[in-house]
Amino acid sequence: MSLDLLAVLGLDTGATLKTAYDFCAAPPPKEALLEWCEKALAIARRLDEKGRPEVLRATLEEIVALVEAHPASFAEAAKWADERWAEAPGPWAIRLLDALASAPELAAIDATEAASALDVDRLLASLPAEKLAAADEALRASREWKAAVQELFDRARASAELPRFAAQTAAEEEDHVLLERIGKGELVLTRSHAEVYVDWYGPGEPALFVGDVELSPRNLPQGEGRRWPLPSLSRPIWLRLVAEDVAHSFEIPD
Amino acid sequence: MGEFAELLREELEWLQRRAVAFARDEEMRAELVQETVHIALERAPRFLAGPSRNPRARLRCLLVHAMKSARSRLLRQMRWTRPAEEPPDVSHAETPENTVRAKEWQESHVAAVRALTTPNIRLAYLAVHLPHELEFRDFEEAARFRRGGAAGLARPPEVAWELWRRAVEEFYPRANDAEWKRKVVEILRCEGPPGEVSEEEVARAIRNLDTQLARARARLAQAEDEEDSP
Repeated sequence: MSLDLLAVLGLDTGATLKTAYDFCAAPPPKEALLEWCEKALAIARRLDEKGRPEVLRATLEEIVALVEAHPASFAEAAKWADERWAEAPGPWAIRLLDALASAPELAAIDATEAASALDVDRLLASLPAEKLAAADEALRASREWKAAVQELFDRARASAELPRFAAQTAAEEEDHVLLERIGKGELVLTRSHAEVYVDWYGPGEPALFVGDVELSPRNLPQGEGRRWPLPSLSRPIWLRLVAEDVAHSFEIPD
Repeated sequence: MGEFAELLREELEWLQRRAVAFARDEEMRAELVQETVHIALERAPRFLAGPSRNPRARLRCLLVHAMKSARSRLLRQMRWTRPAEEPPDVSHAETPENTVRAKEWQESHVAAVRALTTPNIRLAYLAVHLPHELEFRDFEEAARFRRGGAAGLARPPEVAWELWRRAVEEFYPRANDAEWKRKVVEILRCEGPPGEVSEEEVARAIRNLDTQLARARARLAQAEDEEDSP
């Protein structure tokens, strides 16, 4: 399928998810919200057809969870969702429409006064220290993700200026940063000496595009998946991972 | 205190509000919140990995997932059985064992409906499928939800409750019976005197009721999926 048609269908899971996160931070104008709802519903409908990529399921689950977690941002779409019930939606579309139609109810719950019967300090003190440390580490890594990407590119640049010894193995000169976790797969930014790659560890044989240009894939040195050498471009770089007729756009930041 | 605990502390009030919608008594609410927090903490390292995308939104997302699992887990501990396509009719059970089994199923199913659905949807589902299980508090809670934008009850709860009691005594309600469904919407969803409501209004109200029933089934099925998943 051509990228033009993908754009028309609007099945870009990465962009739809990113917009949902933007909506959580600040409730959108109604027009923008309804436009997004159509895209989310297109993902749900595609998922209701058989044999669709895993990426759709993971995206829709995250979208539904975001709607349920931040209902006030999506409440204005409740009437739109109610009207869509007449179209005999499939199970995944029902899940999305149910979340949107219930948004005003959940927003009302969120606006009520909390009956605080819980001893918060006691609850927090009861949590295992090692698990809290692991969660803290994940938050820290997430916050410093952009810096980690920057450092990876810096190391690639520094490696290019150094001589490479024959005895040096690739593993000694390799590091990586997780870009996205999509369904059962992972997109990883990998540096090997001075080269930077985007690696896909997961099912299927997706294609990777920079703009309209498809990058040439290679096999991964180990494990199942694909590897694409990243051309020298100025960052940020917007990429699209395309599997069947679904795109997932993501950014390698500046 | 670490960063995760700080973020969690800020979200605990919100989490408690959500717990109120799904658990009636205080002990159950506290248990639901604690279970949710423990599940969220287990999953946090994997869930939060990768690029930072609005950590607060992400944490709430994690808590929503965790609360669903906590509800399923707590229901399972209460020996919640999976909901059938249609509730069995206790009166049709012919042996004492069947009667006991059907009653146990009904109790666990009502517990699941009360735990997994919001007041409007709960009122619609119980009114149609398990009318004898409805209580006055269900009417009060559905009425309070009107400010959320979804009209669960068109009359004051006291008036609707009185009409409801009379209807349950006069008609023997049967699940999915078209006449009973009409009676339900006349009492719950229409403002005029029952029997004098326009056909157009009744048809619209039945469509709305059917939508809420589909949503209730979707939620119960979703919980069933989660219960089945490892």
